[in-house]
Amino acid sequence: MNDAARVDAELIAAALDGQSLAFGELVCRYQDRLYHALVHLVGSADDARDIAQDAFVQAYVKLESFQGASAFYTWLYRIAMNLAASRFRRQRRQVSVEAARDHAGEEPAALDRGPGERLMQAERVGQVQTALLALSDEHRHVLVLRELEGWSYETIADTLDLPVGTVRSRLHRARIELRTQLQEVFEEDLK
Amino acid sequence: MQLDPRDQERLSAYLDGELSADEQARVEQLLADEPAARQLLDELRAVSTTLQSLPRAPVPGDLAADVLREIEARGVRRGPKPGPGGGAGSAASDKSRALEATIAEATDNTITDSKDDPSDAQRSADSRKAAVSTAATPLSKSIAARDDRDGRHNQPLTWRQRIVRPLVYAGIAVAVFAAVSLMTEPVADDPVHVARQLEEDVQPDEAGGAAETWDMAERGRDGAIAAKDGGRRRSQVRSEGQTAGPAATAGPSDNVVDQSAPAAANGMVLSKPGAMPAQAGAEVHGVGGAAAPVHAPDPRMFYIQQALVNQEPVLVVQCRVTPEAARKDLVGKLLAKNHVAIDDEAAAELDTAINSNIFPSLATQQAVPGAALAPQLAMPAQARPGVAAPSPPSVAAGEEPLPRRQDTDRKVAKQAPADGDADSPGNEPAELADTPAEPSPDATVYLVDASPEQLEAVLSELNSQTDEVLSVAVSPAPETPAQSDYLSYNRAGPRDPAAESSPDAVGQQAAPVADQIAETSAADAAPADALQRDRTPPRIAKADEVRLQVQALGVLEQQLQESPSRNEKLDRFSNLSRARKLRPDTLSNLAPPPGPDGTSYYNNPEALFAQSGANSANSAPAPLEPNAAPAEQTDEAEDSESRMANARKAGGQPGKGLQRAVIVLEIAPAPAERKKG
Repeated sequence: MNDAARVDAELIAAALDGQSLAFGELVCRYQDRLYHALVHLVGSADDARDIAQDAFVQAYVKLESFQGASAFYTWLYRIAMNLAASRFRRQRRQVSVEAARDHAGEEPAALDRGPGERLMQAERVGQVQTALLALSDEHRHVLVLRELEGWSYETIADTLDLPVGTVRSRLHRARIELRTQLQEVFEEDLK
Repeated sequence: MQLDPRDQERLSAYLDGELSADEQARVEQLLADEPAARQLLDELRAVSTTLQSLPRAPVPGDLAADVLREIEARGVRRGPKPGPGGGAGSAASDKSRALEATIAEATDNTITDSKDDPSDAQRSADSRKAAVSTAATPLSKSIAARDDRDGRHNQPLTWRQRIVRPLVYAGIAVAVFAAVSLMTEPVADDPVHVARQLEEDVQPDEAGGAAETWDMAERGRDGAIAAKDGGRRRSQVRSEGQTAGPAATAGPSDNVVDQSAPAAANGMVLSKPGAMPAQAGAEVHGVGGAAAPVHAPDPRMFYIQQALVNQEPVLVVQCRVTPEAARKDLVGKLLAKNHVAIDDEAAAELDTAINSNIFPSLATQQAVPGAALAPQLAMPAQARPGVAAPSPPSVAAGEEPLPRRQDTDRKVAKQAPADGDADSPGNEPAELADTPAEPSPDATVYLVDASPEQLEAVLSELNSQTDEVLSVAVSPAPETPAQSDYLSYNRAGPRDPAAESSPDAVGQQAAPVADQIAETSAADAAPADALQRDRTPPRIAKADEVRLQVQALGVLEQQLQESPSRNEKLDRFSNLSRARKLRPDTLSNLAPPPGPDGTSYYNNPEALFAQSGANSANSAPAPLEPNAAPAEQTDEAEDSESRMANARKAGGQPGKGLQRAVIVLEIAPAPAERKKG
């Protein structure tokens, strides 16, 4: 068990023991990561925050059922994914470049750049967001888990309940689809 | 050369380092041989890099605190499992120490993880701080319990214990008090919370919005304050819905249901000039005409209140009129003529406050909100055949009923035929026939939303009617300097500017009054009026008193909205209820009325929004005049709406958009009496 997992386990044990502060610490540890993934998964900052909050609450409610077979974050992400899925069964996504740009926020590094460059950067982020959200759910999921979360194929397969081979092929198709949509952006990159 | 699809997949996996040794060797060979493979790898890498470089926005607000609040609100309790014998204390103590060490370590790790980005570290530190502050109380209790278990209470107290322990004990006392309060005040009837949640969460354009709303309302009933948004969405709603005015008009159909709730949730302007809001409470008229006015306000009430008590600048116009002018409903007709939206629901609130002894200097005056406006009420008299005598609103034992609404209803039925409706008398209920033609109130209060042009038109006409309007005194809102233009309409001579309150004076006076109400509520055992007598605020000009009441209600409402906890919300609502001469145990009165299908919206908000949404789509503008042709009514309403829209467009600077005004109509004694006097 690595250090992070050990700390998680102790915080979970303390939370189960009634120490809400410990669960608060768990939230602090993973909130930004989960929120970032959710923003790109659902395409809305507000929805992402709501889902993240619900996911943490659900996690606390079901904390006793967490067996530690997977990492806490993997378990939490699965909860969030289920919540997102049930939420978006009822709600049609509305995506726009502007919205995506708003949701993406400003890249910290962009502060060092000039206004023109920052504007271009924001526009590019919006294009990527839009293209990402235009992918099918299954393609977007694997891309987010791999590129944003950095998960291994095996972990993705475990989380999505898919064979590793399927993850591999799905990921490749997702990248090709995204590349096609972002052809203009990449042409500039590759120059 | 076209690459084999399997090779393409391998290239992708190669990029991710997910290939076996054999496959990796094969891909490397391919890359060496095939320029197309190299190009594809470059493109896949570019895609990957682009995604990985997407900005990482931190979660907005204090998610940890919100999560902990919601957990607490949901009542999920976890605690140490009872240990064997007396060893539990020691074990718990060890766990607490282990926890502290773990948290310290976790904190260090978090900081280490984010040390490359100082802003991340700062955000993490802020989040931890918020989480720690949120969880401070349970932690303090835990520490105190641990100390007790360890027998440390026999040792001399350290300085830290001396500070912490009183706080812990105070917290326990507050918790016990809150628990007792909860047992006596059922949370299920907290309509403010439910309405707030309805207001915040309903998304009419989302298929599942109503369901979510109901979830939230349910949570509220279950005693859960949904701290989901941490105030984020609330502020959004407030900013979007700032212009929410009086309720939208109920159309002349037989089924009158709330139409404004979804509009308010959308932040739409609800005011419809010239269109009267539905009269007090939400009346649900049956198709068969056996109307039973239900005096229980629906959620719309809260939107109206919000608009009323948002501490908007209030222009106060005091008119002294002859009894004849009052009988002819001169001012009401003037307002109707100028298509001024009259918020009689809110006026009823004001009326209640005036008569609740909270503001003693006005308590002796009577006010009949909207009574003179009966003819323009949304439901024409002829459309109300067989109207039964309105039942008085149910009130708590020991409280006086609120007769104003009843008076209003009676006057509605009485005055409508006098305005030329020849068919109505036959339909007039017998029990109303004996109603005195004039209740002879000493004062009538109109709360209106009007554009500057409308206000000027009304003031101009009031000013010109010297025979019947004996005096006009305009008191501009201190916060809106532009309203000082209206001072030119003062007929009793311009008011001494020195006598006007300073811009801050009213606001400063409103807060103590609100505090006073709160204190009165807290000292529940003491009669309110006794306290008021002891703490009567200094007498101020009457116009300011009216404004003061509006603002005091505003302060209370503000406090209610900003209350972080459920218990505090209950307390605040209790204060507000007291200000409106309601008590928490009469909150059931606030439940929305049953819908046409007999379903109570209070029990089924989905039905409310589904119904109101449908009706909003098909709603017709309310008649401005009871006898006007329907086409004209529509035109007039549209015309006035467009004018109001223009007025709103012209807004943006104080005093130039829609303005809230209170017109206090005082009825002078008859000439003979005056002579006698």
